[in-house]
Amino acid sequence: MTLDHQIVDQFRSVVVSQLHETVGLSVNITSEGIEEPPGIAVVLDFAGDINGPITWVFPQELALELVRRLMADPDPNPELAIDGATELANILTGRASEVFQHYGVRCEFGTPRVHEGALPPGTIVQLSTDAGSVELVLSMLVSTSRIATILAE
Amino acid sequence: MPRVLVVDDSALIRNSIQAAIEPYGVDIGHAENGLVAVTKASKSRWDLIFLDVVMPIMDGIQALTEIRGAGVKTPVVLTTSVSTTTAVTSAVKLGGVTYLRKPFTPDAIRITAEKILKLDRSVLASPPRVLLLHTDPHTPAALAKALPPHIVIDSTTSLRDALELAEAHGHRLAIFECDNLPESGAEIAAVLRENLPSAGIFALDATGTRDPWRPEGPLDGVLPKPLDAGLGRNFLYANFLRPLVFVDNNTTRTAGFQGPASNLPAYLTALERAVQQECVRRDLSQEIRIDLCDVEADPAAVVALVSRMDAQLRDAGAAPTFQLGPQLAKSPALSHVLLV
Repeated sequence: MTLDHQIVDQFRSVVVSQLHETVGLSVNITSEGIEEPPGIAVVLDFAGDINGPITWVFPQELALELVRRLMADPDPNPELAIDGATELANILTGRASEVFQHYGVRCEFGTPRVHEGALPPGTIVQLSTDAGSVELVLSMLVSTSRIATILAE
Repeated sequence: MPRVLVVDDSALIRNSIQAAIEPYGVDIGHAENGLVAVTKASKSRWDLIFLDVVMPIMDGIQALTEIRGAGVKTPVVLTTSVSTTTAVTSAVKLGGVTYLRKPFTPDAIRITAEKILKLDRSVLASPPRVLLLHTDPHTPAALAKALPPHIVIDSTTSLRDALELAEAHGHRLAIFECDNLPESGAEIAAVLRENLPSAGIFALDATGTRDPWRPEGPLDGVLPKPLDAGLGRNFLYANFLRPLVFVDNNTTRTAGFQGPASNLPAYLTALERAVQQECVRRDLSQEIRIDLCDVEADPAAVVALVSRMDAQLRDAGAAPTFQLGPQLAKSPALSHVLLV
């Protein structure tokens, strides 16, 4: 069973508000579809009632904005963009996954890692920011019947 | 000084916490997962641990359980992007555990550390300073890039101005280039040493190496040009710019050794100078107790250091006592030294 649209919508709205809080950018939801990764792709794996990967694709500039804020350094080394992207994926996934917990869904996620190659199949969300577009691919599957009951409620 | 262990698999997060609280003069250690954190927390004293929750090899909650199981009661701040999990809320109930939600700002880190460690924010107004006498106009910016951002660099192109700056600020580190100056390198080093007796004094030259500690007369060594951030932080900052001693209840406490093993001679020399300067500043008739428990260095080198410092302080009319780790305290070479 794929993720319910209601959860995806809430997950997405938390991502929008957290992107604003984390790197100070206003975000528009522009389209949904499959595109090639234009920036740094980072994947995290969910386990529990929800299983499978979530993949983020951030433009380098957005990743560097987090580095600027964390290090209070206006001119960070561009090589730190990968560290910025993995941490941004970690923060956004953590905060947005609280939506699942709100529904009583048991899930944990692992450590982020850089993803290379084609993006996995899944629900694609594209967000437009002043620093470029952010994509996320929700490839997680609902693994138990318990969650179906929770969602039905 | 307070010692803070920063545990996170992200070097970016570890470095951001370090950058936020380093200006208070705290001594900072890193661990990249829970297993390393448990080892470090059990091996030496820490005053605060910032502990990430989601990490590879061993996560933060498991590490916290093992740290508490080993009887270590150091306050812990869990850093997490998910604060609502049962594990985090249960961990907070253990006591001595709070949490800080990611993303955090440098100021949020400072406020948390100030509260737990009772740090004084006013120290931020008097950061460590480097004296730079340069001939290349690009050198000040290159040096600033190689050092932690809170370090102030007083740069000048004239020796006379450099001496005025030294008198005004009492720098812990002086670096000079002498390519186009009327004075020779030896002359500059001598006059800087006279004005800054306990500072690290280095020439900056293309002939320098990554192992720059080569004491010769007043000069401590030659730094390579261009200077990189590794040498700036692990050698210059670790040995000459972070506070190596502070006084706590009449005890002169010392900061532990940091950086690669090749830095040890520079660290021990800088530590010796800093302790002597602190003791000279104080009334020598008062009790002087020197706490070297946190000095994690080659035991033989520490024994030699204690013997040397003891002799020098006694010559100056003081009666120092030394506090050492249990292994060092048993050393027969220190039988003549007063130990706590």
